[in-house]
Amino acid sequence: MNTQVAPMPLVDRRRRVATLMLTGLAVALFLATLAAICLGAYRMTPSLVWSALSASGDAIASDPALQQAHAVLLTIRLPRVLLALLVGAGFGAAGSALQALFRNPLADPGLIGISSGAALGASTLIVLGPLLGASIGMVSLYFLPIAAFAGALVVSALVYRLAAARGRLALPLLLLAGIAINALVGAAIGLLTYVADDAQLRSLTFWSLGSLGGAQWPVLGAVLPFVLLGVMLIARHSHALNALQLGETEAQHLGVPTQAVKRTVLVASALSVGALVSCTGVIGFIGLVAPHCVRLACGPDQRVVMPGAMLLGALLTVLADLAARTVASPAEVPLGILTALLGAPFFLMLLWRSRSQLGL
Amino acid sequence: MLMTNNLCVAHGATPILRDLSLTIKPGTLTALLGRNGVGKSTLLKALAGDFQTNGSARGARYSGTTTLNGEPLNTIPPRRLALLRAVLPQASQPAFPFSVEEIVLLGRYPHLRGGVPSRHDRGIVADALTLAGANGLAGREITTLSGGELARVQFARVLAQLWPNAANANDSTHATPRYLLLDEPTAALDLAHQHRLLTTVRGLTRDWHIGALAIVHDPNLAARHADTIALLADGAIIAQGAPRDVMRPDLIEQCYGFAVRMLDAGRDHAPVAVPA
Repeated sequence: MNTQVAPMPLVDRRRRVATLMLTGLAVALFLATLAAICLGAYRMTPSLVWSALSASGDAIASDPALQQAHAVLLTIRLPRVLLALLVGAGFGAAGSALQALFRNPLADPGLIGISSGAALGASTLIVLGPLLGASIGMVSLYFLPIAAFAGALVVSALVYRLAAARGRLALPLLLLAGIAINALVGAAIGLLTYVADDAQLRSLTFWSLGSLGGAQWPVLGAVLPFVLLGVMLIARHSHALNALQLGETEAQHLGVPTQAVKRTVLVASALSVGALVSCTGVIGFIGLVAPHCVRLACGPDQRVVMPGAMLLGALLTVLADLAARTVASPAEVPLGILTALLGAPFFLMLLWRSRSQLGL
Repeated sequence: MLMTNNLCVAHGATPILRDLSLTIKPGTLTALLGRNGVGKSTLLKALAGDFQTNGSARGARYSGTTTLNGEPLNTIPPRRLALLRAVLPQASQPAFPFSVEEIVLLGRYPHLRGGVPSRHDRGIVADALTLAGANGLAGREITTLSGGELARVQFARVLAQLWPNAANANDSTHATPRYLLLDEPTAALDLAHQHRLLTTVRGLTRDWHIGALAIVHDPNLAARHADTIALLADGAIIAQGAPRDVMRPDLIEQCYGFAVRMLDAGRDHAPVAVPA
């Protein structure tokens, strides 16, 4: 029996890289968040931000500059940056979980249709809700993420049922199912657009583009518990998700309760994605890019990929939203457009590099 | 004992196994032979407990009793079952570039509390790789391995799963018997590794007091290493016994539908089958 620690060069090197990367990402995220809080249509210096947040009510009331900074920060800037962090972290976590669950690096909530399902759930509530007599006001704030979650869940279950059977998973089936669902939801939302009135129409258009413009504290408060719950559930199953990479039957032979893990991870991903889509519309590619980059650098251990994807996802989203706000200032480019502009070429490059694995 | 009695498995309307009974004794290596598609993997699945959990065998109807050390398989929770039996599957290709050590470490999953491997686990990983003849592969990513190399890494993982803990190691005959089920373990291996693997498994049945069942395609390989050979044909075991008793032309022909004749291989070995 070995009494000394066995040398494991690749494992140790990966662990060192993982620690470095996670630390680096955390630092970069902090700096990016600071930049996002200060920059925008109304620029502030970090010291102004600090004074506006820490000053007393009287001090703020007497100084108009401080007053304006305080107002911008609390009603616009902070909720928006926080929502960006939440979106990035939530999609990063869900993307890493889905890629592990489907045992495929191309699984992304958007590509396989889960984001669309969420959008359909939310849009249906917006347009058909009043017809069913749903009340408006604070209560509807919670109904929206719930409707989106229901839509995301139905699609996740459908896609999994279609593409996985007898412990095996067919990638072409998965992606084709995603294509079909995205098309169906596009048509359904088109139908809803037809029967919608003007106010509803504006909301519906916003789903297809995706933006953080609607960030307000009540909205954040409604969405945060869903995302937190989803992320916590995914984190609990990191080791089981690693074992699942061997295959469902093999994981079962190791004692992993595979059915329960599959169900929980799917529900948790649908929960995070659904809640986020309900307040931002469909923002794609973060769930694909973030976990993939972390995996390339640190190896496929889910216990590293998930936190890394959350950090990188948050970093990418905060920076992308900063660009969205400043590039065409004072107008705003919808965030979904920016992430698609950057994410789609990345996806193409991914495909190019994996040609041999994907059948060519 | 790991045994199954009156096992009947049908896929839809087609019966695969009819009223089959098989016992795996600790300390012995049993080789299971049969034609392609006769139901060897199905029998192995039944012994592994795959039919007890839903979702694993959709569309298959199953009846019969399977017990492990006297307990019915469906009463043993998955976590404890993983400590009592390990299954080496046919070739599978994980999608992500895990390292060889990470794969073998996954074999320690049922032993880990809280998911963090200890120094002891890492030592077991190194020993398992050596025992499986795969320590030259340490530090490689599994996507760069050949089929045979990956098969040896999976074998190391299964060994890590069954590695005896301190209590078992000192007193193997009184330890709880455990079982190793191997589904065509020699299929991807070259000649040397085929014999080496079966020699290793046979040695483990003695050293670790485990009962092993291996599905093998080559009757001569089986006759060389197994304590018992079971022939599966038409959904039933047509012969089961020591290699010398089972390696008969009529039995092999009934099993495979292929005429053979026996060549003498010396006093110490069962006869060798060659085409008639």
